[in-house]
Amino acid sequence: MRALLLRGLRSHVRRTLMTALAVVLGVALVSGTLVYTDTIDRSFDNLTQATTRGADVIVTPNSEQGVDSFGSDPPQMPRDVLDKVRGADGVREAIGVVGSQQLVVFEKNGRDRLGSGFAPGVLSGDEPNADWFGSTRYASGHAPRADDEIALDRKAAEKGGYALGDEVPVQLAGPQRKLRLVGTVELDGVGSFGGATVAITTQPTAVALASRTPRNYYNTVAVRRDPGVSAQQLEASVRRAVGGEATVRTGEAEASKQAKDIQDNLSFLPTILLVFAGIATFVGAFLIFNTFSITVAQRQREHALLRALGATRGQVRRQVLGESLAIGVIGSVVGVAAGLLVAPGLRSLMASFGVDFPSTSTVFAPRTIVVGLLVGILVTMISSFVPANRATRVPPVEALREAAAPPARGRVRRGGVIAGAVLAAIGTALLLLAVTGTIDGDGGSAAAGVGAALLFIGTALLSPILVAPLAALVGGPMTRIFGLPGRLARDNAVRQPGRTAVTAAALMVGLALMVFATVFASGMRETLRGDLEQAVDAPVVVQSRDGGMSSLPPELPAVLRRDPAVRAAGAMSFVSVKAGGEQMSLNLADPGVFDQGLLRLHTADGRQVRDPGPGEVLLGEGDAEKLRATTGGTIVVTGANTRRQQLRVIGVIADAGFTMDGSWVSTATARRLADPRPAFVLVRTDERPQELERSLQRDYPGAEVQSKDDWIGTQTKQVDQLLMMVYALLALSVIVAFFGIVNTLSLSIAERIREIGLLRAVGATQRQVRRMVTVEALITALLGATLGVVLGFVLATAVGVTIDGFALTVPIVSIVILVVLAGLAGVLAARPPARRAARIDVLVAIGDE
Amino acid sequence: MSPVPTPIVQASGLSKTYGSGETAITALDDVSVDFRAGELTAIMGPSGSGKSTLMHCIAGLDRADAGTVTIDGVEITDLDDRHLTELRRDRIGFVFQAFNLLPVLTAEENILLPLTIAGREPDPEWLEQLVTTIGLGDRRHHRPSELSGGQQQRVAVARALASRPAVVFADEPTGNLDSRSSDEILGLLRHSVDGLGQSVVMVTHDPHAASFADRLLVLKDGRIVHDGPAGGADDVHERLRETSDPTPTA
Repeated sequence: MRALLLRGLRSHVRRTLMTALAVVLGVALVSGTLVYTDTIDRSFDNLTQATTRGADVIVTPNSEQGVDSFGSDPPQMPRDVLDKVRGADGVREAIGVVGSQQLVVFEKNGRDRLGSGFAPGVLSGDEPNADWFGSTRYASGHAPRADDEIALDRKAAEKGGYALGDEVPVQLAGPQRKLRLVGTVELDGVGSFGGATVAITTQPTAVALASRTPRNYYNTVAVRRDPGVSAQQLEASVRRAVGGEATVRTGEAEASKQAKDIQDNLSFLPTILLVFAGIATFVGAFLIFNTFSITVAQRQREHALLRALGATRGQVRRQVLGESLAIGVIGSVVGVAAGLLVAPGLRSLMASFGVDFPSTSTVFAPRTIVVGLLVGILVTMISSFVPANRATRVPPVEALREAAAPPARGRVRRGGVIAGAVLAAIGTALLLLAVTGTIDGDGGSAAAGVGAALLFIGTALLSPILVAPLAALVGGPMTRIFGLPGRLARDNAVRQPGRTAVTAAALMVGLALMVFATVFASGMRETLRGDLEQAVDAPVVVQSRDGGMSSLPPELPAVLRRDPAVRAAGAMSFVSVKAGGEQMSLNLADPGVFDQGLLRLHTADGRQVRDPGPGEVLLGEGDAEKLRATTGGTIVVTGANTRRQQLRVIGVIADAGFTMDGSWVSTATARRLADPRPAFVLVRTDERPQELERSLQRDYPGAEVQSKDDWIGTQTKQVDQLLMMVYALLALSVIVAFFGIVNTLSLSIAERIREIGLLRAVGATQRQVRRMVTVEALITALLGATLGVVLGFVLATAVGVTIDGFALTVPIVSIVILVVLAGLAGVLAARPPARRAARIDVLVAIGDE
Repeated sequence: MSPVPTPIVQASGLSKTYGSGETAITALDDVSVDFRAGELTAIMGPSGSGKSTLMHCIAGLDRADAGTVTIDGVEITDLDDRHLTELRRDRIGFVFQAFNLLPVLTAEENILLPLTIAGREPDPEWLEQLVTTIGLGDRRHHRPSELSGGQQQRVAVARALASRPAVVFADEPTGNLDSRSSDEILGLLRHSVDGLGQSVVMVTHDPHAASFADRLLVLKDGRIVHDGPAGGADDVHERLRETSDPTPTA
């Protein structure tokens, strides 16, 4: 029996490979995601280890876990901490570093930022002769000695085209400065810093750039121990010396803490990517199911013969499952290996959207292999279970009958339709529970995922009843255009409605998610635009030139206010704090933002919102509900610097819209909790944006000045960028569906070889045969597209209505483009099977078998 | 004194109807018949006479609406699928009109397929004898597609004999063959009865084929209308003429 299995696989190489390919693609994305994210983790590990190497103990500011503020640094320690550390027992040497991760290093033009907005610009102001990294190696030149000198990491210098002696424009808190490049560095063990740019200056220069005061001075103090003192002993004595003013850890502990923080922050990445890998695998399951269904139908006589000769049902089932196991194993092994190629692809995909993480050596963990194999094999086996069962139900007497051609017009299985309706209903119910928040948290995500999957499967089972009417709809014009081939194509599509429906369903899944994303993104865009247009009443907005990804120098708002043509200017930014144990985001506004009407919001009783004073907070509707706080009450928040602050609620904002629904404090209040930097500055001025920008050119060339409308445009563009990324990740699922069409058509044609031969014998041209196959593919693709559009739209609407003030729009152009692309994909998928159909030898086809 | 042949297959009161209402077709109408061991029985009849249905029912491939079938002492009417499958596997051999060899297996593997399915080790001597009997010679490792129709059907006969079943059912075994190959197959079936002591039941519409049988059954409208020694081809023709409707002679 095993010989039979292997021979069967080998004699249908094409079919085996096509089916395996569906497994390969899904598994490759799973394995690629794991390789990619493991590589990032390892690289950050290496980076944190390298940056803490050589230090036995590291002293860092106290900071609250998991909260930060827009474009700002973690808190700093006062200057006298270093003296306290130096006074501790067992300290041989202690060095303090004035640093930042917000440094902007410009390209030579002085306007554009070197590197992407997500990658930090690391500034390290070292004490003279202190080898802080312990492993910094100068690839060229030397460490900065004078205050106008700078060293860059080698990659950044190369990217910017900087040579030793060149002037490098940099900016942090104040106006742009130009420093002379005197050296390039490499970190031992880490070939690159990912997208990060690393700059080293003297400590006085770093203090000046970052506007540090003796109260906010050091980021880190690194300590080395006296001989005979252990790291733990040193840790204890330093902790005694600094009291509760700072956090003291051994170098090792600090490295692993940093690595863990980074991993926690990045945990969204594998989750998101694995969701898309799951979708591709899910689509692959449709393909596998369909292929096995068709081959089981085609081998009905073979299975009947085995049964007639005495094979038990179990033996027939094992025969089919054995084949699927083999395909699962082949596909998974190739898929896991292909993940190594997918990982760099994912990396450049993310990088092209500005998300660039360090990646040093590729990490291929045993876990990746295990997970990849398990996913691939299980999905294949599960998908082939129903067909395998169907094979066991073949009556042995079929072996005695003449080979039956596929039925002229297939019936729709009523049981399937009923099951489909039930599954779709359960799926919808789960989705609703998740969307309305009845089930929330991880359970909600799971309910949404399972619900969507059930809805897709249910629709796939229901859709056979749609095949005939849709085929008539599409086939009608086809018959008129192509004549007989068009008619035959339509009839062929209807012959086995279940088969056509499942093929279409694979495409439906990818398309539904694309349409969902499109409708949802378009809704988000309009919501965002509407909310901003309503709230922002400043004719001009200033933000950083990278689309507002990085923050602005904190001194910029004051500089703008000094401009005689400017009548009002106020910065906006964000900090995150902890309130009631949960993370909460606070918007912050400079004085005048509300009082001078740069931003217009109103409270529930219809009054205009005024600037919040010190210790005051204006709650958004959502926050007020979550914290159960009302006007006149108080809330307590904890900032990134671990300080607790009681805030008095002076009002609750109403009807701000989904994107503007947030709580507001003054910039001054926020400064007590963190070190926020402006996200953008709202300006009322008589000048045109270009004139204002020109006046900022000398000191703040990284600032972009836009009219309100242009600024809203750049904000909404970010939604489009996200949509593009979703498209790119869903593309793989659509490719799998594409292979599904190729496979189904090829198999169907093999089944109808005699009919096609007959057509050719009575005079059909090769061209007509090709057309017939192509039109059938087109019908299948359009069926999938139609279902996908409807489902996607329904899903987006369902999610949209739960969002307060969500502007539901119908992006008709995008949807039409998607449908046309799906049709084109169908036509393209028909090419190989159409060519094969056209080449069928007439004599062989109509002769005896 | 030859021993009285014992029935290897017994059918009693078999009835089967396809469809319902006005379109109902009675394929078998209360048929009772015994098949004796060590005999080659031919079943003939015009199309629609029920001969195929009879064979499907007595071979355990299909179930009758009424009546019982006993094969080699086992009553199969109420057997569940598993026991019926085992019975087919161990006690019954099949030869089909369309050969029905698995294209991916070699001739020898096809012959051994029933044993493989049963998980039994083939007896090398028996295999040798079979291969010699069907005269396959050095083509035993060829695929079916590399064999002529006659050779394929000889492989199918060997496959039917491989598990030494109690009875072999042959459904139009010569239907797809030329006359020379037909004679080879019929000779082979004859030999399996005379030389190997097999029992064979063969459905055919070819009087020449039927003339190889010991016994001839003729079915018409779901009933047995003749049961007797087959005789030569001319006798078979005679029997068929007798049992057909009186038609006006031209």
